[in-house]
Order: sequence, then C-alpha cells, then structure tokens
Amino acid sequence: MICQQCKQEPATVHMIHLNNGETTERHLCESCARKEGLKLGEDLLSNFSVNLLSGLIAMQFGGEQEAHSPGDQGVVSCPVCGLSYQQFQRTGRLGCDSCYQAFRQHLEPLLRRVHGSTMHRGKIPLRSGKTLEIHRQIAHLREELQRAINEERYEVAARLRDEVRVLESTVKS
Amino acid sequence: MSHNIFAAESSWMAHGSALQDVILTSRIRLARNIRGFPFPHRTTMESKEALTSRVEVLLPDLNGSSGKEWQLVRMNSLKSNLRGILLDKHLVSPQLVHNPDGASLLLSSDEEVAIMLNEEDHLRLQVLLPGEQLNASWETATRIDDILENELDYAFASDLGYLTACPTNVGTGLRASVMAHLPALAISKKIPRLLTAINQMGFVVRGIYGEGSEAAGQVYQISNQVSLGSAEGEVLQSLQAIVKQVVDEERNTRRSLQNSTEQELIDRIGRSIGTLKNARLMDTAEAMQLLSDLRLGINLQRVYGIDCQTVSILLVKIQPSWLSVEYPQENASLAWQRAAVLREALSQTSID
Repeated sequence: MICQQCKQEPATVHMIHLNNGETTERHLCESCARKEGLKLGEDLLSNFSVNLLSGLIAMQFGGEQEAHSPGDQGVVSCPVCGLSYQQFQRTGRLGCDSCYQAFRQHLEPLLRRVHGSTMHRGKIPLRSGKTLEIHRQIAHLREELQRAINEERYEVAARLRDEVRVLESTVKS
Repeated sequence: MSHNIFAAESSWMAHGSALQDVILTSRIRLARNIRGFPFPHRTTMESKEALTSRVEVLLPDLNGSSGKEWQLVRMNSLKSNLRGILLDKHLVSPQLVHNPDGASLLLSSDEEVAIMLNEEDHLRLQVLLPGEQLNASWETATRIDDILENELDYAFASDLGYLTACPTNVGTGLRASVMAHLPALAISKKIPRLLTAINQMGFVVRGIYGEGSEAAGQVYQISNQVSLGSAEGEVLQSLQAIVKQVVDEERNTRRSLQNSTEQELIDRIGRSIGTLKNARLMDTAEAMQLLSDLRLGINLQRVYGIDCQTVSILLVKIQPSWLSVEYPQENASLAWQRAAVLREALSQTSID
C-alpha cells in the first residue's frame, strides 16, 4: 500500500479514526504521519496506543469474532454496563469495574501478553482490602462449617457458626 | 486560601534536589476508580458531576488530614488557554485539556499533588517533585491515596488489583516516571542506543514535547510500562537503577564533550545565548532548543546571571497558552512576544 498523502513512500502507519460513529481510515508513510502528528499532537499518540492495544486484542482472537453475528452465543457483554467485548476490542477501554469479571476469560491472555502476569502483587486498599480479607475468611469458615455439619460434629459447627456471625457483623458495620 | 494556579512558576521547578543537573522531576501517578460507577468514557454528565461532588465534600477532610490546602477546578469553567497553562506546567493531561466537559482538577496549594477527576479513570492522582525524589513522591501519593480510600469505595479485586478503564493500567495503577534532560547524549547521538537498553528493562522513553527520537528541548520521560505482577517498590527500584545509569551516562558524555570538543560546545552555548538575548521573532521549537543549550551551560557552570529554575519557568512562558493569556490585547504576534519575554529574562545572562 502506498502513502495516501505523498503517494510515493509505502504506507506503514495505519490510522482508524472513530468520530461520532463515523470511521475514517488513513494510510500514511512514517514521515507524512509525523507531519500529521505535529498537527494532532497528543491525540495521535494516545490513538496510537489504543490502536496497538486493539491490534493485540484482535490478534488474540483472530477471525473468531467475525464468525459470530450479534446475538450469537460467542458475543459477550458486561451484564452491568452493557459493553460488548467487540466494543472493547475497538476502543481498548472497558466500561466499568464489572467488565473485568464479565470478560475474564478473554482478558487473561491479553493481560499476560501486556504485563507478563495475571496476579496483582502490589498495594491493597486499607479499608476495602480489610473487607475483602474478611469476606475471604467468611467463605473459608462456611466451607469448614458445612464439613462439620456433614460429619455431624455439631459442637464445632456451632462454634464456627458463631465465628461467621461475628465476622459478618463487622463487615456490615 | 487559593493561589494563582496559572502563574508560570510551580514548586517542581525549585532547585537544589538530588541529580537535578539531569533529572528535572520525579512523578508518581495512581489510577483509581469508584466501585459500581461506569468509567468516565461510558457515563453521563450527571454521573460525572455526582462523582465530582462526592470528592468535593471530602475537601475539608482532606485539608485537615493531608496537611495541605486544596482547591477544585472544573475544567470546562476555564478558557482553553488557561487549561493549556495547566498542561504546560504538567499538572493536567492533554486529555483533560481537550475533553474538559465533566472533568476537574483537585490541586494542592503547593501544586505537588494534582488529582484529575473524570479523566480516563475516575481519579488520576499525581505527585510531582523536583529532581530524583521517586521515594518521596510515592510516599506522598500513597498517603493521599489512603486518605481518599477512607471515604471512597475503590474498584479493587484481590487478583487483579485496582481496576482501570484501560487494562494496561490494571494492578497497581502506577505510572512512575522521571523527566530527564539529556543534551549531551542527544548531541552525541547516543539516544537510540539508550532507548533500546531501557526498553529491554520494561520501561519506555519518550519525548516530553513533540515526538520521535529527537525530542524538542532534549527532555525525555522515562516510565514503567507494566502495572500488573510487580509491587510498587520493585517498580521504583528498577526505575531508580535506570535513573542512576542514565545520569552517569549523561554526566560522562558531558565531560567527554568538554574534553574533546570544548570549543565547539562553548561556541554552541554562546550562540544560543546570543540568539535568546537578541532575536525579535522566535517560534516555540527554536526557543526550546536554545533553552536546552542554556540549561546545559548553567549545569556546566559556564553561564552566569540566570538559574535552572528560571529556565523551567521560561519553558512555560514561551508556550502559546501563557503568552496568549499574558498578552491578550497585543497586536504583535506570539513569536514577537516570545522573543521579548526571553530577551528580558536573559538581560543579565553572560557566558564565561
């Protein structure tokens, strides 16, 4: 493909511009793109990173999404904000925090490719982190409680039940 | 108490911090979102305003617990050239300038902490300090983050960390960066080699002003790329190791330029000062290049009558935003006003 601007150099920069639902494509050589870049400034830079990311996302699933038409089982949407995975593929932006859960399977390989990891090892928020930890404890105690009931160890079960109640009350308050 | 946030001067320009002959600033940015709210690009103006009000009511609290005074600035209440000044001072992002509707800036009066509301994420917390102060920046950022988290329910998952609009920021939500002035490495064409070496460590280098490997003003930003899988402390340590190497390389190259081509180097700086002191029409790009030479001359202790802080202030004053705010009535072109600002600032400057 030849650069649309100078019509001489091979086009190596491909831009897809989304504006109010209208799509414009531009195919430029590097030096013409740079000239455009001076005009567009940071806009171009941020679009670049989005396009690179959508490229990565698209690469993962190959032609998969084209095989499905909307309404097929293959189309995933976030139940909370309604963003479809295809919209995410186009923009590189998720719609809300629940999207991470909704697109979990699709996101994991992407996160591994971008970050080389799928596990957070950094800071945990003080307040909600504590709540998270308590929820985890409650889930664990409930499992033990169920086991105790199944094994007819009722004294242990009663103690576990009380522990769960205490923890639940701290989360609620 | 509010201060003039549109003054060209900001606290990060102060001089006297570590490694400041090469490292101009250290910056920590944390991306945070509120649980259950759609991300800003998928939400309504009402919802953006609800978030802004929710943060606004925290102001008295924040004033007390942070030891700083804060003010909230709604971006669409500002003319575009005033927003531009905030951008040139590195207090807001280009996105906040170009999409001001529903976006706000929460700024501490010392301008060290700037929290953008409704940018790509609900909150973007930035701490910007002069010189190499990555640890101090992180400590301030995490302290303010804790104060906010006490009142706001952050979107956080135990496995993926802080949830962000773009999956490239998920995890710590941390972008740690330094602004480095690398004139000697640029003059000796060593920048591309440096870029490769730094990329291999998972960090990115780009020009602060303009793009391409030949950054305007020879100021480069070095920042981490990855936010999931490493603890914040590890990211900071890696960046500090890179900073140390970059500083060593730049200083060594400055020394070897002084040894091998001292006359050419001093001639270059002298000509730049001559132009700054005498030109009548100056465009932004040329001014940035000349100021870069001037800063190098000051750091080599060959230039007198001006300091690096003044050079940093001038980097804001030569931009179209500041000039158009400062000289709104003038008929003269920006290039004419820019040259006048520079001549006045350099009136006492000389080279030895």
